[in-house]
Amino acid sequence: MPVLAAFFDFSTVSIAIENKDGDIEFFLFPYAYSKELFAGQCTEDEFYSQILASYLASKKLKLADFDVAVSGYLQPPFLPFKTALSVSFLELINSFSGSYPVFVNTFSVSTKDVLVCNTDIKSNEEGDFYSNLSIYPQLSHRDISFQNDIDCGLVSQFIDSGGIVASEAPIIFTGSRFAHLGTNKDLNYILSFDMLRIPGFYKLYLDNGNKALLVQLIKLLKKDFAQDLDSYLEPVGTYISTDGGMECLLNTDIGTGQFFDLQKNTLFILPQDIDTKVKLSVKNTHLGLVEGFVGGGTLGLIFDTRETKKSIFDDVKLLNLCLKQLKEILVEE
Amino acid sequence: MFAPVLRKIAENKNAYIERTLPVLGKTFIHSGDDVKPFDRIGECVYSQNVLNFSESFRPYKFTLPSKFYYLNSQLGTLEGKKILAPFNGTLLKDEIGHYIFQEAESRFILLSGVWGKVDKVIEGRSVLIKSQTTDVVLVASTPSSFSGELVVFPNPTEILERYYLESFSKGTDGKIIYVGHFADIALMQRARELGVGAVLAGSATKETFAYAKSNNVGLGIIVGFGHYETPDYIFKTLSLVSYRQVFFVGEKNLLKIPMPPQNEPVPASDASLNTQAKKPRRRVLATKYVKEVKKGLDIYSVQDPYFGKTGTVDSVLENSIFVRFDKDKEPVSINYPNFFILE
Repeated sequence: MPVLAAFFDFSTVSIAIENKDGDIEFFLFPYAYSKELFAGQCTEDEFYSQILASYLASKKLKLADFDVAVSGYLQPPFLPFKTALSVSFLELINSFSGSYPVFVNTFSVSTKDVLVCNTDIKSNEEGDFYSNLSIYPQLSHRDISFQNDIDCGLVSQFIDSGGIVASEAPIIFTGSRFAHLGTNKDLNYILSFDMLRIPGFYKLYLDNGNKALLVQLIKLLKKDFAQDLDSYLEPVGTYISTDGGMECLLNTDIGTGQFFDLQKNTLFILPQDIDTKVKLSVKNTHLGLVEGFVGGGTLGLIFDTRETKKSIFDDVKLLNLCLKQLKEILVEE
Repeated sequence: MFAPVLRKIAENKNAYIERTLPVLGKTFIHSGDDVKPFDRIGECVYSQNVLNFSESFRPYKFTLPSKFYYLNSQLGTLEGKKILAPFNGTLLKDEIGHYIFQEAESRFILLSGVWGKVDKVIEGRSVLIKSQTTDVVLVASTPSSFSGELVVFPNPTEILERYYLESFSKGTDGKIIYVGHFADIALMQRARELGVGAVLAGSATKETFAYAKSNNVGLGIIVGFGHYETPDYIFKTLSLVSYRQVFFVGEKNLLKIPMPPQNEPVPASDASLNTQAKKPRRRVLATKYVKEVKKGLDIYSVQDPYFGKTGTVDSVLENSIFVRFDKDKEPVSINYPNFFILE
């Protein structure tokens, strides 16, 4: 039977269904059950059951036609129908192999190694915002500087708890934080950059709908599911991080080369198409000489030469530089 | 585009209200009896007020183990200030040497407070009544329960909120007061001093809420944390039932307003409830919790600066809707998912 996978995050419900051709269709419902708002009219399971039923009805499908796999943050809700698979969030995130998911929602960051919640409330306004979040989980703040403060607090505690362990596997930034329709998209990229503090080369993906988690759920239920996860995610590019300045040499397939020298404490984005693979040589005082083939993406190649790896959010000049470059690259597209 | 349905005001035809005597007494009714709000259903005798004095209190002509004082007679001094007895009562000294002044026991009459049918009676203790209520959903409330007369202020500005509270101070003891769009800490402090049972407001800060919770003062917030206005239709609903006995059920985030059964004539003071023009938004409970967003539907916005406001969908785009909050003004863009469908 085809699979229906559902992930119940803090502020969203993500659904994936296998269609007749074996492809996956995704659906994001950007709301979650709020006891404060809905307890008088329905229970959590009634609410979520109706979301699933409404979505399937819009596709002229029935729940009985699927094997259902569910998970949620931190546990899936109790649902009043039989599920073929029900796993906790930690079980799900630990089941990934071949990629390294970094799950971010409005108030927490989780990886296979770390799970932290933001307890750093800087102002009364922030306190009121988090209090409103418990009532209206889908809330986002339209003010960029306010969102920056929240992201900064979140990343700071994540880094203090160990952060992203150096990984050769592609890093997937997922979670309702990146699915949020109201948040400025440039801040999504900056948030992901800020979490990478250990020098190295990283292949980055951005997931705007918890698709990685849904596909993983399908894989857990259907061992022979062969679809590549990459095809559902946004390939951001390759992130090259060094302690201090670096010299770079890019050689393309057609034999052209480009040499450039990056000063310390900067962040430079070089647009590079996803289909183009280049040979990159990087020379840095600490890393020495490192060479390898790297791919592009929505942004391309992102070079980070921050020496002490302080937060981008704390460096106004660097933050503005990032925003400016992102605006130029993303507008071009 | 789908959105959840929000019902801030809901009719509840199967509400169970417990009316309890504070101490063991007598109950006059039986299971199956029909009751109306002013029916006497029980009574008891007990001391209804207690004052606890601090260490610095010095009693006047006190004799152990206790002494009776008449209303307005000198009770003692507190930090040099003369204290008069606020009621007839007995002054006692507890085990740790602090003074307690207990009001003379008096008769307490338990009224039904609601229209309904008695479901169960625990003799001398409490009565469970099956009734029908209009429930106002509060987004946050301190975990206390209180029943009392509802007093509705006319949405004054913040500057005037305390003025209104002071003006009503003689009659606020034991009441539930809607103070306006915003309740601050100073207002909550004064409400506590005046013996207000619970305060309702459109909004309050997290700090104010924490104060109310730690000082055991009932606080119910209608819209959210911060500075937001109470939606008009909720204010109108509260205004229409001003001076009625209502129930603040903090643990369930509800203000329960007892309603007469359908064929029961409404008392003259509530006659306006029957007037179509003034009828507040009331919807029958439906089973749809999620609906497709369409033109013409009413929505409840959670996007600044329209947070807590209600309007009508003018058009639906891919990731936003245009909403008409004021029929005389242009529609405004509200991003998805910063709204709920309102019923």
